[in-house]
Amino acid sequence: MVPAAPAIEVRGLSKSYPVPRPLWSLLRRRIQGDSILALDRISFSMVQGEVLGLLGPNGAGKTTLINILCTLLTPTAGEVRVGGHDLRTSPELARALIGLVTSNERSFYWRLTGRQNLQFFAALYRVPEDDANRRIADFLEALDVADFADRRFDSYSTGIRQRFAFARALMHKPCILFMDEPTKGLDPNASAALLHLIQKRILEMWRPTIIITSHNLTEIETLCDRVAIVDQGRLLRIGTIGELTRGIRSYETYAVQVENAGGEMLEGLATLLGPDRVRIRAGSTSTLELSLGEGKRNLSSALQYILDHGGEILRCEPMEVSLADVFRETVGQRNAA
Amino acid sequence: MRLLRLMWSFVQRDATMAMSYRTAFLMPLVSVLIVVPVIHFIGQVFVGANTQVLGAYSNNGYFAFLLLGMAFQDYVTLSMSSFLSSIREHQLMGTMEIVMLSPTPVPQILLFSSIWGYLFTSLRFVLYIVSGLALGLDLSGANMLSFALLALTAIVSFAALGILAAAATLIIKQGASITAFLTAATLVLGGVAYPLSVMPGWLQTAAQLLPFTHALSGVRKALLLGTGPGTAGPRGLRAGVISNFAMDIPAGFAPGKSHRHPGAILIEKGGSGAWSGTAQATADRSTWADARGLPHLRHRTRRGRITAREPSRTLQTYAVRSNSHM
Repeated sequence: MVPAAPAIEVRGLSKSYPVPRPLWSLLRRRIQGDSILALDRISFSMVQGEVLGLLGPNGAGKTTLINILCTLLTPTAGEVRVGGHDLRTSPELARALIGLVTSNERSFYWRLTGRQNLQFFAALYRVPEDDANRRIADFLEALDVADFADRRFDSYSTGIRQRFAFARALMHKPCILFMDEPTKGLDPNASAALLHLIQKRILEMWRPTIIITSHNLTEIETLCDRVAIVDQGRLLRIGTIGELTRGIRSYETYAVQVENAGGEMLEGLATLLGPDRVRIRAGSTSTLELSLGEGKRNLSSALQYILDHGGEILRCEPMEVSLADVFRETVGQRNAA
Repeated sequence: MRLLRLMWSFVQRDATMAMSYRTAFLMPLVSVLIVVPVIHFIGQVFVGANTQVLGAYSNNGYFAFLLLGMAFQDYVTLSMSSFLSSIREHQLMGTMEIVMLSPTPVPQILLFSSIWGYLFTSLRFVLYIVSGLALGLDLSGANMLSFALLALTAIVSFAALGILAAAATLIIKQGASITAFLTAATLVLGGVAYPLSVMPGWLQTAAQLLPFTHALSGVRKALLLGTGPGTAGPRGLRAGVISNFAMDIPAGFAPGKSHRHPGAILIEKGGSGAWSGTAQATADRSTWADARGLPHLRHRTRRGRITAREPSRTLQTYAVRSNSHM
């Protein structure tokens, strides 16, 4: 049984890899070579049933982090507890609680059928024999792949393979699930269908603790309670999407479509709101983006100013800060620094 | 029960995959049926020739000698390569992470992954023997119990090397180079195609370091000479099949103990401090040449002069004595 909380606890986790060197250099230099820091003092924790999205550019360290949490890699430094089990001392206990969904289609035996694959993995993951065939049938049904079960795995489409990956990951009833880019390579329809399936058949019915990595921000926004942004091995931000958006922008932005907006009016607005709070939207000559620190009152003043100076307001709508904005600003800031 | 189910799952998986590649599955079996006649015809070349160089096996002929050598080498080579190929296949197929993530301990994964390979190679071995029997191989005096014990011991012994190679594969990725080297070494030094006595002394010394040399010698004795573990009591057991292989190397390096070699030579330190022994083999020069190739015996002979090499009452035995403390 998993202790109540936290489901996952990571403290000061670092991972470095040795840099491969030519054989001849071993003769000339010290044995201890250079290393690449893949993860740098990462700390966070998750409560049971929470869904955390892991974002980051390619090579940020997301997969390394997941591999460590899955016990596939050992950390260089730091402490990791999964389901209350320290991964250094009792990885085998943690493994029994973990399920992994990878985007690697080759993680199945292609010459076997889907059912044969699941039967093999059921034995490997110690699913009781009496229970295994029933569970396999249930998952095949729940994931809408029962019709494909007895065909060879190499005949499946990417979407079907991914569903089998979910069936395999869930078969031993793990309470912690890692999904490494689960919709990678899927077309939009298949991706949406899989997303729906994750929501309805996994989150709502099982409520496992989940860490998911993806480059599809819509997926992350739809599924996750919190989001962590990682770059160059460091955890840059972690929080709910609301916390993250407030964290990067303390003011509200409105898009105002104006007819007859002249240069004089723009200068006046900049004086009223602040020099960097008024800009013309790229690709448009009539839409202004106004950033307002004080909310509605400030908006009224700005709109009144436009009307007073001969402008005609055609449209006005708030501009939400998206997760993509948060990601760009966070990773962009980091790279600029 | 759980372990049996797990083992069966691995065998089922590997067998299904292997048989799905029909040509790759059948060709190794067909190749045996091609190779055995070739061995037979090579053996025919030496019919009527002086085969005394084969020592104890001269009566069986070169066909039997070579056939068993090749069949057993095939068997033992797999012991070394099966673990490695299991790791490598998982790496290449992309199933490594998912398999290693399971709560099943890694040693069980490795062991069970190799079972199909052993079963398939056993099938090849049986094909070698059956084809050989069809072409005149005489195993009427074979001691199958002795052979089974030896084969099992040899496979376990070689599996240890295989596991080391597999571990290296995880780090250096291309562990096949290690097993390729060991396979080549067994072919050259193990006495597969020729008796050790035809090699120079220093190569014979190197050959003694390979467990395969001892295992193959034991297998030939079991199948061709009918040597059995229980035929001559405790001493026979020591000098027999099992001890020839399993105890030879440790005994060879232990001072003041009995020393044996595949030619069934037993050298013992007597009460007077002198060394004596018997060479239980065909009484010919090759037996003596073989004895001189032994590292410990050569070491002894360098420091102590061997005073007598006399045929004893049985034609199959030489007495070997030394007058010094070695």
